[in-house]
Amino acid sequence: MTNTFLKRSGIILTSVCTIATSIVLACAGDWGPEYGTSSFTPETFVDSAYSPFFYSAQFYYGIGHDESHLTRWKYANIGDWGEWFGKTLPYQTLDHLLNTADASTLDSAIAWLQAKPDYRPACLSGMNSNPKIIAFIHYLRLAKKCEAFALTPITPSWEQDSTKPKPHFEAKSLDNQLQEALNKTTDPFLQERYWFQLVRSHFFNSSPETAIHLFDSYNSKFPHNDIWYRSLAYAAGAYYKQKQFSKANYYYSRVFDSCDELKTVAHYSFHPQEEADWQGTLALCRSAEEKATLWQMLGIFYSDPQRAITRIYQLDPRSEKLDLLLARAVNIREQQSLADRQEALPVQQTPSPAGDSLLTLVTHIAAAGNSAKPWIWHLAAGYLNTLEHHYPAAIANYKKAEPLVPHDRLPQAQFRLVRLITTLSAAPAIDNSLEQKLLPEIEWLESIQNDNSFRSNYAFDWLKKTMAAKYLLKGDRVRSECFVTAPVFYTDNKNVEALKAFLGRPDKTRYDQLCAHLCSNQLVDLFEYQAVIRCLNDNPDEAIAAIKEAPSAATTILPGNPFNARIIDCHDCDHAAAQKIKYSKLSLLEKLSELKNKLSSATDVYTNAILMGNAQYNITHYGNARVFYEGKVLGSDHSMPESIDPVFRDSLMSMTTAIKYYTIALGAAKTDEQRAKCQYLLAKCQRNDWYNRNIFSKNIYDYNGPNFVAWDGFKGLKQYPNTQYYKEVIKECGYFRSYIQKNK
Amino acid sequence: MVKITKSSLLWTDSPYLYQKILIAVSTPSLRSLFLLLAFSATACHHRPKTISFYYWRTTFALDSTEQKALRDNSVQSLYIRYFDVDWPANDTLPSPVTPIHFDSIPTGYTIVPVVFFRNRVFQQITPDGIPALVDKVWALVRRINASAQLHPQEIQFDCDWTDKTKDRYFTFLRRYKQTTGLTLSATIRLHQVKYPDRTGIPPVDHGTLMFYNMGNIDAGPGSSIYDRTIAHRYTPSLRSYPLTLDLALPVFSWALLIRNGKVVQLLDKMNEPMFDKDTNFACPSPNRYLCFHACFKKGYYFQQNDDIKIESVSSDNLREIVTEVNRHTNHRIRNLIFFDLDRQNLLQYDKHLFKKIRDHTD
Repeated sequence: MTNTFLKRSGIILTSVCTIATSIVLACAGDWGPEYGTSSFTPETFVDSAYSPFFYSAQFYYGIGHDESHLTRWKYANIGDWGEWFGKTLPYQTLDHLLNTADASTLDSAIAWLQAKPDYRPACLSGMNSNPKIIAFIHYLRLAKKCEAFALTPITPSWEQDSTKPKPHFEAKSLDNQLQEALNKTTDPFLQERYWFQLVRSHFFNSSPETAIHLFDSYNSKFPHNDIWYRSLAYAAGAYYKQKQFSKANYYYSRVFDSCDELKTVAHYSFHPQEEADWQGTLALCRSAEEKATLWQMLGIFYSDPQRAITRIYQLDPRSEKLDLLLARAVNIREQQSLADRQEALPVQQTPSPAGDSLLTLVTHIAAAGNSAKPWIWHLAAGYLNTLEHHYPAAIANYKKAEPLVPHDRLPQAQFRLVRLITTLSAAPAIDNSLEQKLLPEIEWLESIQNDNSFRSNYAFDWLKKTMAAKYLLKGDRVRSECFVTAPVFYTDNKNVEALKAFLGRPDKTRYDQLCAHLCSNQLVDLFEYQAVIRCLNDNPDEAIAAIKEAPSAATTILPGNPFNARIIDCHDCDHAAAQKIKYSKLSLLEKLSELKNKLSSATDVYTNAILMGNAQYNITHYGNARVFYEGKVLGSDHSMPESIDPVFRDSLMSMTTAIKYYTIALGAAKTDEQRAKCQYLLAKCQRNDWYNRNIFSKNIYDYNGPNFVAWDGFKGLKQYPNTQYYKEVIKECGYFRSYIQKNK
Repeated sequence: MVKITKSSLLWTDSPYLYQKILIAVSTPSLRSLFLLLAFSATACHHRPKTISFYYWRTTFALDSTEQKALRDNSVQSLYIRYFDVDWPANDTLPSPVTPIHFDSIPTGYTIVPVVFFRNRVFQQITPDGIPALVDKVWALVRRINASAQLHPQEIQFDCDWTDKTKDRYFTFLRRYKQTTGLTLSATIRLHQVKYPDRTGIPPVDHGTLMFYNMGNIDAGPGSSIYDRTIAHRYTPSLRSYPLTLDLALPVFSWALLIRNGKVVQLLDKMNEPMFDKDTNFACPSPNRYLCFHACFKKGYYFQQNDDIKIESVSSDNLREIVTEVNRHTNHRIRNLIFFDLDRQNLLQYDKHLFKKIRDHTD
């Protein structure tokens, strides 16, 4: 018992035509909300019945596609019949009979009504037969038969069989029964329903003329309720089949205007072919309001809101149909202005070619003050002026809007948001006065970030970028970093110390408290970062001092033993291996400090230098202890060097410190076995350095060059062919094997 | 010289068969003989070329103009688009798009189903998902065949694959061949001819060189359908392309709807005569129209100040394409397929054009 979309056999261009989709998607980007970079919420002032037509990257806003044709009328039907029964039939019974019961249940019900008590179906237990029940069951039996041609279930796409035409439904007998019931019944409620069933049956199974004739014969007898508009939609479809597009579109416009449930259906079906069709539809209108509906449909469906606004405003300045068009026009303008914007400051934007004419139109209507909601026109004019960088005009618009904005949550929020955007856009630079002015606004904007009913995420993101950029222009790196974190900031330790001082200051103003609160990296993160960098720079004692200020990081356990080295690196093996001692970040640092002290006193230099080299190797990106460097500032989950921020790659991938200790070990080695090992471990470092210099620093993702280089370490190891270590390397390392074979 | 007949085993378009024979013929002298025969076959055998058409609408029903064009040009084969396969961004699996519906049955023609794949299908699919995709495509093709009582022996796949997707696309093609045993062909775009080392050679029995859609779809003066300068950059590579090729030539036109300097819509089958007599449009320069009264036309809506750019391919352009292809293919073009069979397209040209172009092809 639903309406269905009219099917139109279209001509498609596929392999030769894929541009339309990409244009639509490009409007809002491939990620993020479907409304793209918008800070103008239609829900603030547009009737929610129009919500599928809010500007969106999807086909219909909020729902993607209209797939409710099987269930569209479920609750309305239950409600209508419940009213007709005077609420004497339970909801569950009605729901079951209307939406679940099949032909055999209804057959039993009819037998029961014909004085066969044993046949009463369970859903009617406790009921007494009465004329209304009898009429309902008889109606339902015929209505269910109509579902065979009127309802097409949604099937999975690969199983859909659009290759065959719909099977012909032999409707003659059913139509006769419907006609007979229509003639007999005197109850207007039932009569209207039989009429609807028959109009629909004629639409699907007979000639369009028959459907139109039946519609015309009865349409004046019934109130304009949902059933009436459903019938009107089928009459429209019948005219469409006859290629009487003017009349078809006129009927669809009335459905669109008056039946919210069928708005998407009317939209899908409304399709003027030639200008004469459109003019013919306009000529059929009986009132200015009907014409306004047509212009509204044109403005929405064919993306010409300005023309539609102009025409509707001429017809009726107070028309509510202007609201949706205004929302769409502003939302489209926002995308033109803001989509794909990388930089933060709107002053660097190019004005939109269409922007001026829209601004002129909206300003005109705002100034006239004769619309139904003058406040939204002033507010929109202000926002459009901001997008065009006309800030004084924007501020003047807001002044006019302010006393008129309704004291409801969304209108007040919208007004506050656009005024904030204008204030910040207009400010040439940040000073104390601006900070104080923005303080409560930023606090408010942050507080509503999880409110999905109001579009504020993009504005907050934009505000932070803009504040950061303005602080940077002013030379205030610390506050800039508070609004938007920039990895390059941390490459200068002076910046880190300055931020530490700022965050640690006990007497911060309320504004600076806000800045500190917004800052991505807090004091502990900075100490942890400094500990890592100091350790990588071979300064474990200072690193210990720093890591102790970040207790949670200090106790983080490393997954493998960082003092081990393998011929072929295998992090998973190291992590899975049995470990007598589990090192935390702090205990690793303490061990490094101890080893370093031993080296200073020349104690067991070879062994301790090898251990130092192994640990320094393992705490880089190449080693088994990446966890050591992972944190808020440096990032984590670096599966590839490319995922490390470029400014940190040198620090996290450098082999300098590892090479330093392996070289010390080599110098202190007393046996060939030890020398062989040092040479090979150095070769690994030389290989990593080569990768760093030749591939990762050049961002080569698809490396096609030589995959074998004779490292110095290989040459060194070649001198010790009789060592056990050499033999193990030959066994495990194919590159070394190749090198030896080529250089015998 | 040994005479090669069409029924001879050596006369084949299948690279697979060439390979099999080359492996079988192992002695050097025999191999030389085979190569000589194969060369003779490709160089000297001037088989009469046939004219075919692509049919690209979603309902198969021919009007009288289309039927006449088929008869006048002795068309034996029709390449019919069966369905597209796409994988929209938010979906979890690929799905078919608008399978064809046969209103009438194309009797008397050899039908070659064509399935178009959006490249993003192969960007998103994992190797594990390919067997299921083969099964689904094959099942739908069989269902469509059955609906029109067709028994095609060949299928053509159309995909603008890239070096990033070639492995998965080619795996699909191999598996499809293995599953169905049908003759496989694939459309080949010019960039794939020029960079076969990057984009690979599809594992099919023969290819169809798509000589259209080579330019950018933009508001500039060039045409996205055919641009001589762009074509010249690619055609020399045809000489060394290893697949036997049919040549697909454009006979379609469309209009680009340009708003604020950006293309916002493609208007299918719109051409100049449709705008010439319409007072809502002015023609400031050849192929360009300016809308100065907003209006509806052919189901499209035009806003005031919309710019319309008509793109089409003239008879001279078609001759030029064939001349250019002749220069570089050494008689290796097998047949001609025109894109696409549609009344609007046919009416743009002299009815003898198709034969003239065929006769102009070496």
